[in-house]
Amino acid sequence: MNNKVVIGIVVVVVAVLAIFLLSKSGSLYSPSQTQTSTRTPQPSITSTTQQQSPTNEVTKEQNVITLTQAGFSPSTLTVKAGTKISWINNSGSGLSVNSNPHPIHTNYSPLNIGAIGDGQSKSLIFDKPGTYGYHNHLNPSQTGTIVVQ
Amino acid sequence: MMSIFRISKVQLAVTLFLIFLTALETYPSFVAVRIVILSLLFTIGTDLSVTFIRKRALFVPYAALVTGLILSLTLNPHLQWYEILLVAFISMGAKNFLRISNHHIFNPAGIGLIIGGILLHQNVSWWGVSFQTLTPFGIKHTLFFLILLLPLLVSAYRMRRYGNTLSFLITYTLLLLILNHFNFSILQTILFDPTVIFFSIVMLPEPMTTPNNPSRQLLFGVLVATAAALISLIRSSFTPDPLIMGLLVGNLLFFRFR
Repeated sequence: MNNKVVIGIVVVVVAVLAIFLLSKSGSLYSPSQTQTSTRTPQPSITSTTQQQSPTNEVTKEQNVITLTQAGFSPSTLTVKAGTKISWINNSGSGLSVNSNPHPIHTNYSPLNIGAIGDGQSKSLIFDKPGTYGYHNHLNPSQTGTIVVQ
Repeated sequence: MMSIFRISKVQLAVTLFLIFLTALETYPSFVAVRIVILSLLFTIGTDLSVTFIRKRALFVPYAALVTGLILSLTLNPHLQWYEILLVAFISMGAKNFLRISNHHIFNPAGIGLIIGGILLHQNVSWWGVSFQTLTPFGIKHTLFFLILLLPLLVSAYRMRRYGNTLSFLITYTLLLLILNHFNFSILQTILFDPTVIFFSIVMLPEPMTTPNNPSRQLLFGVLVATAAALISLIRSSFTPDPLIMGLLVGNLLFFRFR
């Protein structure tokens, strides 16, 4: 088949798809691991060092970091050793919490919590004092710090 | 028609698309599909347009296809369409214009990611090559990890570019061990990190901007690894991705010594 014809067909198909996609209103849906579309924190899929906690315990916790489209809030959280911290994703899309530095995540491997679907949460207990930096691997400009005393 | 699949760039594009499918399975979202389509549209469109303006000729943009797929796997999938266009434009602009004596200087995807990232204050996401880990062990994770390794068949076996990859991985691992005070628990993170693997078998051995000579390939890999490790030490509000920056440093120093 003539190369120019092939190029032309591919360009037209991709252009039509692109126009179709761009015409959609920016509504993003979360990865399939999201169990519900509500913003209520759900029982977290905890890290490997944790047991799964009931829903109401997550909502009562003081040490909660929320991700919105603006980033992690609070961006710096200071806690005592042995405290459980929860990350809640209210950003409207997927999130992956990983230890600094990006992209190899070697500073503190337990902090490689991984994917958190929209509306979901995950937790981690910090046993040792120190300063732990983390980021959203899918959008590395969103960063945070945990200071453990 | 089948002869098209004998072209190494097409083979590489096929493996990259398979990697995208594994990422899509883990992160099935509209933005993932959107960024692939827009990256391909903008890289191919820009490359065809610029080349037509320069040479008044059309061609099959295999290189742009590969660059578009790399960008789709590495860019933040939540970027606006004009931000994706900017990165694609920079990539293809560098491919077409940043050359001396007809030698390409920089890896097109790499230069687009860094300059676009600086302009947009966005770091490289590597979202599409973050989920293909061996753990937790299982059929799916093993299969996805093997799919991640598929580009080796093109870069190492077909194009004989294993020198770059090997020297990079060894040097990078050793340096990170030293920088982390010989904390051997990070070995698994480094050696099986899908981002590092993807970088070393897809972006690092890019044939137009890396040495052909086997000895120089080894040196190139060592240099890129060293530069990447040193750049990773920089702590600032925005540090460009160390892997890509290391690659660009290597491109700049070796473009005369292919």
